[in-house]
Amino acid sequence: MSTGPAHRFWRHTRRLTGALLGVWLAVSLLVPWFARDLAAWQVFGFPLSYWLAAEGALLLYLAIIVAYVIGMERLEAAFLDSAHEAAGGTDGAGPGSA
Amino acid sequence: MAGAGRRVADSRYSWMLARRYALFLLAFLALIGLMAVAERLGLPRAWIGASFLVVTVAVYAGIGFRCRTSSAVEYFVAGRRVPALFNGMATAADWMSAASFIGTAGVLYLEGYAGLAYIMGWTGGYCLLALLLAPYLRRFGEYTVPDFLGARYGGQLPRLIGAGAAIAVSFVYVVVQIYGVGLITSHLTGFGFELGVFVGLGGVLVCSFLGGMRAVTWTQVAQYLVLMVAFLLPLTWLSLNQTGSWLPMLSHGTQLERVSQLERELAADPAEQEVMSLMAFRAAAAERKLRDVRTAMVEDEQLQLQRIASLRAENAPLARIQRAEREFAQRPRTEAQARRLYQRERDSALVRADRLGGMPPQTLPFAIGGSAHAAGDAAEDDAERRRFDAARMNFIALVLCLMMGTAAMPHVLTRYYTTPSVSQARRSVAWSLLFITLLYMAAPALAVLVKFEVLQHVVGVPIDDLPAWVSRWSRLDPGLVSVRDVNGDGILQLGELTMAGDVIVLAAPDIGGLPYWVTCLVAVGGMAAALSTADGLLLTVANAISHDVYYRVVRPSASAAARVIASKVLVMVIAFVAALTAALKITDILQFVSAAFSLAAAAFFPALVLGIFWRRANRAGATAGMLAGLGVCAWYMGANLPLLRSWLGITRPLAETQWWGVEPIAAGVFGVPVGFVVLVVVSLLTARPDAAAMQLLDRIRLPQPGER
Repeated sequence: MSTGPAHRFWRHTRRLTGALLGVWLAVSLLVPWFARDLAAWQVFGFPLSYWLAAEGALLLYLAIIVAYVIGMERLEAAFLDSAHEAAGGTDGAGPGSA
Repeated sequence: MAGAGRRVADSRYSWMLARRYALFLLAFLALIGLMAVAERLGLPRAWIGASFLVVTVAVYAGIGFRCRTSSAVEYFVAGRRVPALFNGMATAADWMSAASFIGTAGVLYLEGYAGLAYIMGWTGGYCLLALLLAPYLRRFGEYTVPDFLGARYGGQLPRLIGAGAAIAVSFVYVVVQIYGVGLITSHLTGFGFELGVFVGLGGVLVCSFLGGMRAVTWTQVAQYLVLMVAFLLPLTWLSLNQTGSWLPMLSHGTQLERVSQLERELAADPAEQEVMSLMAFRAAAAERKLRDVRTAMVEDEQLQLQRIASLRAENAPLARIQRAEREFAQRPRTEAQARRLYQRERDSALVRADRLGGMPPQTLPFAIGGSAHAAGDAAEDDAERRRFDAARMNFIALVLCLMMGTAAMPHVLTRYYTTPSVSQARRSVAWSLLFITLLYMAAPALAVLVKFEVLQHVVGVPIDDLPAWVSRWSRLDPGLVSVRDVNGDGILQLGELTMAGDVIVLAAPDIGGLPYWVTCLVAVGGMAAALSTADGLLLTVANAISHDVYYRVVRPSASAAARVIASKVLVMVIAFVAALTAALKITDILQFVSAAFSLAAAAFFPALVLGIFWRRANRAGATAGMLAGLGVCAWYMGANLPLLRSWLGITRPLAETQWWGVEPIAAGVFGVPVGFVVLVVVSLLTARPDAAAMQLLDRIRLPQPGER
C-alpha cells in the first residue's frame, strides 16, 4: 500500500463522498418513514412532515451538494499542490498509486 | 500565467452571456406586457395565444439557427465551453419535462402528501449525480454515456447494451414530450393536435438539427427563463390575491391550514356523504354487471334503445337524442370491451365513494383515498395499518427509484460533458439543483392555492352559477374537467367534480380569475418545458446511434464530419417517428414514462457507479449486471403494469405477482440491487480488468495537472 498524495487524495474523497451519501440516505429514508410522527409539529404554519418533504429535504439536498463542491475543491487544490511539490514537475498521479 | 488569462477570458464570456440573457428576459417580459395591453384593447383570444406561441418558438429557432455548427466537439458537447451557471440552467430545462411543469402540481393536488415522492425523488437524485457520476464523467471527457461504459469495460457489449438502453428510455420519453406539445398547442391556440405536434416539432428540429448540443444548450437556457416566469407569475399573482404575500413558497402554510380546515368540514357534510353512498351504489351495480358480462351487455343495449325511443316519443331536444344515439353507437361490441368498460365504471365510482372525491387530505401522509383513520373497530384498524405500511413502503421505493433514475438519465448525464472543467461540472450540478428546486418548491404551493380556490369558491356553488372556466374546460375535453349532479340537488359537491391532474397548472390562471394572457403564458411555459426536454432527448437518441453504434462499432473509420451528418439525419428521422407515434395518442404511454426511470436506473446506475468506485468491476460483470437489472425491471413491469399484463395475457392476481406490494412504477428498487449484486459476483468470478481500464480509472479519479 502506498501512502502517496494520490492514495491520500482518493481516501479523503471516498470518505467525504461516503459521509455525504450517508446524510443523503438518512434524509431520504427518515423523512418519509417518520412522516406520521412528525405531522404533529409545526414550522412556518406547515405540518413538519409535509414541510420537510416539500421544501426541507430539497434544501438539505442542495446543502449536501454545496458541501461536496467546497470539500472537493479543497481536496483537489491540496492534492495538486502536494503532487507538484513531491514530483517537481513529473506526474504524481501515476498508475497503481491509488 | 495561462490559467489566469483563461480565467479572465472565461469570466468575460460569462458576463457577455449574462447580459444577453438579461436582455432576453427583459424582451420576454415586454412581450408579456404587450399581450396584457393587447387583451385590454380587445385583441381576439386566438390571436394572443397564437402570437405568444409563434414569437417564442421563433426565438428558439433563431437561437438554434445562430448556433448552427458542423464541428464534432461543438455538435456533440457544445465545445465544452458552457459555464457552470448556464449549464445549470440548461440542465434544469433539459430535466424539467412537460410532466414536471404540468404534472407535478396536478399530482400534488390529487394525491396530497403522496405526490411529494416526485418532489423528493426528482431533486435528491442530483446528490447521486454530483457525488458519484458527474465529475468523473467530465474528467473522462468523451461524448456519450455508452462511451464511458465502452472505455472502462472494453469490448463492444457493455457499450451496445448502454446504447440500447439509452435509445429505449429516451425514445419513450421524447414521444411523451411531443404528445405534451400537441396537447398544449391544440388546447390553447385552436390548432389541431397533429398540427400542434408539427409546429412543436419544427421548433425542436431547427435547434437540434442545425446546431446539436451547442444550439440546444443556448436554447435551453432561454427556455428555462421562459418556463420559470410562466410558473412563478401566476403563482405569485394567486398568492397576492389570496394572502397578500409575495413569497408563496414560504407563506402557503396558512392556506394549507385553511385547506385542511375546509377538508374537515367537507368530510362531515351530509350532501357529500349522500354523493359518496350513491357512488358506492354505482360501484356495486358495476360489480354485479362484471359477474355476468354477457347478460349485462344485452340489458344495457335494451336500456339504451328504450331511452332513445322514449326521448323521441317525448320530443326531447335533438342534441339529447343525438347524444343518446352516439352513446348507443359507441356501446361495447365484444365481451372484453364491455368488461373493460364495467371495470372502469366500477373503479372510478369506487374512488368517488371515498371522502373528498377520493382525494386524501392534503397533508396527511400515506392515506389511501379519502379514508381518514377510523379508530375503534379492530379489524378496520388492522386493515388501515396494512394500507399505511404499504403506502409508506411504496413512497420510499418510488423516491429511491426516481433518484437513481434521475442520476442515470443519459440526456442529463451528457450535459455535464459540456462544462469547461471538472470543477465547473461539480458546481454546475449545484446550480442545476438550485434552479430545479425553484420550480419544485413552487409546485406544491400552486397545488395548495388552487385547491383552496376550488374548495372555497367552486364547491357548494349552485351548478348553474359555476365559474366560466368549468364549462370552458369540460367543453374542451370532458376527461379534463367534468361535473355531474349525482344527487340531483343542483349544488356542486366535491364528489361531483372531476378534475384531471393536467388541468391544475394549465387552468390555474382561469381558476384564480386571472386574465386570459396568463393562461397563454402558462401554456408557453409548458411548451418551453416540453421542447427543451425533447431537444435533449432527441440528441441523446441520435448520438447513441450515430456515435456509439455507427462510429464505434460499425465504421470506426468514419470522419468527424460524417458522424455529425449521420447524427443530423438521425435527428430528423427519429423526430418524425416520435411525432407519428405521438399522433397515435396512446394515453397509456404515461405508464411507460415512469417506467423509463426504473429502466434507466437499472441499466446504468450500478455499471457506472461501480465502474468508477470499484477497481475489480470488469466487462463480464458489467454486462451481466446491466442485463440482470434490466431483466428484473422488465419482468416486474410486464407482470404488474395493467397494459403489459393484458398484452402478455397475465391473469395471476396482483397480490401474487407483486413483491411486498411494491407498485411496478418503482421496479428499479429491485432491478438496481440485483444489478449491483450480479455485477459484483460475476466480476469476482472472472478475471481482473486489464491495465488499460486501471489507467483510465487513475485518470478519472485524480485531478490532472493543469486542471484548475
